[in-house]
Amino acid sequence: MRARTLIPASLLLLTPFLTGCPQSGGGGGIKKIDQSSLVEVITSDDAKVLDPHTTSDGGNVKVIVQLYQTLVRVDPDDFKQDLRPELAESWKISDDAKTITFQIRQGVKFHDGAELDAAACKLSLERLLERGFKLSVSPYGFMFADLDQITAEGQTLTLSLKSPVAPVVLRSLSMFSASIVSPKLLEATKSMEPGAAQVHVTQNAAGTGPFKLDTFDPAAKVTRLKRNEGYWEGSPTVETVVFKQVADKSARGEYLTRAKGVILCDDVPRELWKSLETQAGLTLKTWWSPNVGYLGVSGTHEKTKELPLRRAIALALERGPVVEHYEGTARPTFSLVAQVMASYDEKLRCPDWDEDRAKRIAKAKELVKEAGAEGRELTIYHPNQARPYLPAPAAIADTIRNQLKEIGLEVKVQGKDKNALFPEIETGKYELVLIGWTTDNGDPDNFYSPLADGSEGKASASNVSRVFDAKIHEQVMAARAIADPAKRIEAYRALEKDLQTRVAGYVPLVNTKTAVAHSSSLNGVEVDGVGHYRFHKATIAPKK
Amino acid sequence: MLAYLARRLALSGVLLLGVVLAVFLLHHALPMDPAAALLGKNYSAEKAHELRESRGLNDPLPVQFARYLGELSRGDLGTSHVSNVPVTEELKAALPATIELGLTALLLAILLGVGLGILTSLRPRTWWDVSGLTLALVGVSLPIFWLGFLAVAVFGDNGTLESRGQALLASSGGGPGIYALAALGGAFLVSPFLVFGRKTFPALARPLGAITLLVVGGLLGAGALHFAFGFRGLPLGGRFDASVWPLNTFVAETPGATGFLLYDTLFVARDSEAFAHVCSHLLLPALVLSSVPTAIIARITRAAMGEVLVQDYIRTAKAKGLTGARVILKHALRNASIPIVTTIGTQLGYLLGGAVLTETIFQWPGMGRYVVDAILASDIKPLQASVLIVAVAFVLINLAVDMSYAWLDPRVGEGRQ
Repeated sequence: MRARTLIPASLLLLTPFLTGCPQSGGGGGIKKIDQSSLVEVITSDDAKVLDPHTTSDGGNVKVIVQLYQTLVRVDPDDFKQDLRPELAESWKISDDAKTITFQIRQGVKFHDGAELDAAACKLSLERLLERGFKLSVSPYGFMFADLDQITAEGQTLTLSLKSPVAPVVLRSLSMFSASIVSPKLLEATKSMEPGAAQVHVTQNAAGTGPFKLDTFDPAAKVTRLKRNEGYWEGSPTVETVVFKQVADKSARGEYLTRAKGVILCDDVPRELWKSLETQAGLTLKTWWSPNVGYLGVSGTHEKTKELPLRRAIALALERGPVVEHYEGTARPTFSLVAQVMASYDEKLRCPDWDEDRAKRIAKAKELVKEAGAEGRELTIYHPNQARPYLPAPAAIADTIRNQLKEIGLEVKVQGKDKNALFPEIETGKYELVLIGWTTDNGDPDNFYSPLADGSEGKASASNVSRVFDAKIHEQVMAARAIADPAKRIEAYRALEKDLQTRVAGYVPLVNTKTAVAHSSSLNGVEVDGVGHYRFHKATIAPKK
Repeated sequence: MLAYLARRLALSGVLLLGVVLAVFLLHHALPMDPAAALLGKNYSAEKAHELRESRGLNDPLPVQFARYLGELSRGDLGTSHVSNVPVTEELKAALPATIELGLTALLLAILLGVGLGILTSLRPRTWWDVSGLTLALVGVSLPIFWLGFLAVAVFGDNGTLESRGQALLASSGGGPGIYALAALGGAFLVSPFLVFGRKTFPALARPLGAITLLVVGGLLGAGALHFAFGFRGLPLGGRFDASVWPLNTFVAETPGATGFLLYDTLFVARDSEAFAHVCSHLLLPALVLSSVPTAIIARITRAAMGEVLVQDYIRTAKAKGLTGARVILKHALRNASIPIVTTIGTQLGYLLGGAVLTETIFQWPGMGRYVVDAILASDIKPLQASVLIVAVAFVLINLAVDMSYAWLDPRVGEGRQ
């Protein structure tokens, strides 16, 4: 009897599977989302935290930039990283480069109804600097350490700086981490524990951006935004933006090529770029990213402490074979600063450079001999995980190993988890590290300060060379304070030259492209140089 | 029976304490530094030390362990370093997703595995037996990740098979020709039965039987073509399409909703379209996940049934005139069920804890994905909690299996050998 009831019951339970789950018309219990004005974002990493002051994670930032805005922002039409007004209508830098005065836009409201004024901006910046607030983590707070007095009067916000670095601070203020959050929301967090405050800001996100948070359920991997009807630039046409995480890159490719609705995909697998360029219904947008992939060479490590050896390594590395690993999406680069930036010097090459590779190798061998390093055993360490500037770290490291063999060095390659490798750079235990950098604020200082300088006689944590050179430090500090753009460019070019001559602590290798792909019916998506995309001017063409 | 239960419970308690200690020591043995993950490229030793200090990670191990035990005793699984949300909150969404997937896969595995096992055991050393065992061997041998990718590529929305098939149908005008060809192919594929199946099915020796077989083969061929190429394809992943159905909002806002979407859509929302949508998302991952358990259950069932079916009491039951189904299901299967139940129990544990690959391939927001995310972000508390929950599930399932022995075979509960 039991079997007689069990079998039909099981069959009943399986009916939907066995019948291929037909669309039965629905009982109408749950209202479907309107598809007519919806964009689905296929992204490699999902959002977990929507508090701009406490995160550095790319998955979070993609959502944050839809919800929040900054005083100034990078111009999306100019990949050379020019700034344009956003919540500040205008700004003025004092002659001594120690004061910035902003005129804050009027009539702007936060998603929770609060008004935007200078006091609201002040509160957000104070939280970023942990004045009157305690943050659970402050990954970018140090970039605003030069901020001294912040005064707010009506719509006028004045920032006084500890040193004359206004151009650098202005750029940092364009970063998502300097987002202006509703004062109503922030006031409520003052009495909370840092962790609880982060959760409160995340769950009640209220910025001035073109989209509002509709559903945020990180555990279920659902992030859905609705348009902000009261957006100060006019209500967006796109009504709903849904973020969908597809971590695996081949799966992301599948989603991209099989999409039925309107989509945008970031972190597009490089191997797909060529085929996507010709795929009907999709648009691939590519641009040179403000990044650099380089080989860091320690100047303090026992095995690479001799300057002639480091210069020999710089001479021996041929960019062409390295670039081949990037499927046509990278170009050789010869300075630490990204090629898209004005201070990049097209003509600059390392000392003793000769276009004839045979001559360079001969010179490099001489330098190795001079350093007494013939046959020396070195190890190249690289992150195991692909990075935007290193899509295949192990293969690229292997190419470099073969090139260094030509000048008589015995090189091994060793991969490490990025979360283990990056913190250990500061300990100085690695002689060669294959690594890279993407600027956070689009300023040349954001390359030289963290990667080639330091403070108080100590190299900064990300400086693989581990060299603190007093003269270089002086140059870095002086360049930060120059207000005149042309003079600033010259200062950074001179700095680069000196670094390659005096320290030779890195060998710049590649600058790469970044891409987003989206449905061709989606027009007007704004993408800026650092890769943030926005939909406030986007429209969806009706289906033909 | 009560003494047996008490003994088993006491043993489980000791086991769980060991698990708690192992779970606590887990992150100290692994190169996981939440500070490195949180600070990213702006890491510095000073900032990292400050961060670890604020989260008590610099305290001596015994202090941390005592704190951990204290938290556990209050039912507190800790807070994620990344999101600062209590792990119990995050698990509210992940756990139902995994249980729903695991139970569906187990149901499929039991139906298919026990069925296949009985079928092969009834006709040992025949074509049926060899085919069944081969299928089981293939099921055990195929790596889940490969099977998963294959399933997505072939049956996924606009998958390879569908798009190629549609192109083929379009090029042939989609007319009856291509179906006739498929029918011929199906008839050809079943034709060996006419020779090798006569022993099992004597009717095949007669013309009517042979024609029936070929017609059935032809229909299967044409039907397979229609199903594979004509159907709309299955979703590539996820529990549901968040750009179409606001199911998570529904679960959060509706009293009585459980987070088990099959139940919620069918019984709470009473929305057959949403239910069908959830089923379509569940089908591929459940099938892929059930492949190994199906194979293992089939092999165990075959072996256990093989031993029982030759016993005297089975012959007696048949001699009494009982129907074949009654003999197999009531007399044979029940007596063969101890190893089968044990296997099902261990497979349930495997399905709940071992769905990491399946959940990753199919973007399933369950425990497996949760663990992977925690590892990638060096987020210790979610990792500890997930491992602990899976361990507890294993212990409880084993306990339940042991209890079921006592029900299936009363001698076990009485402590006899």
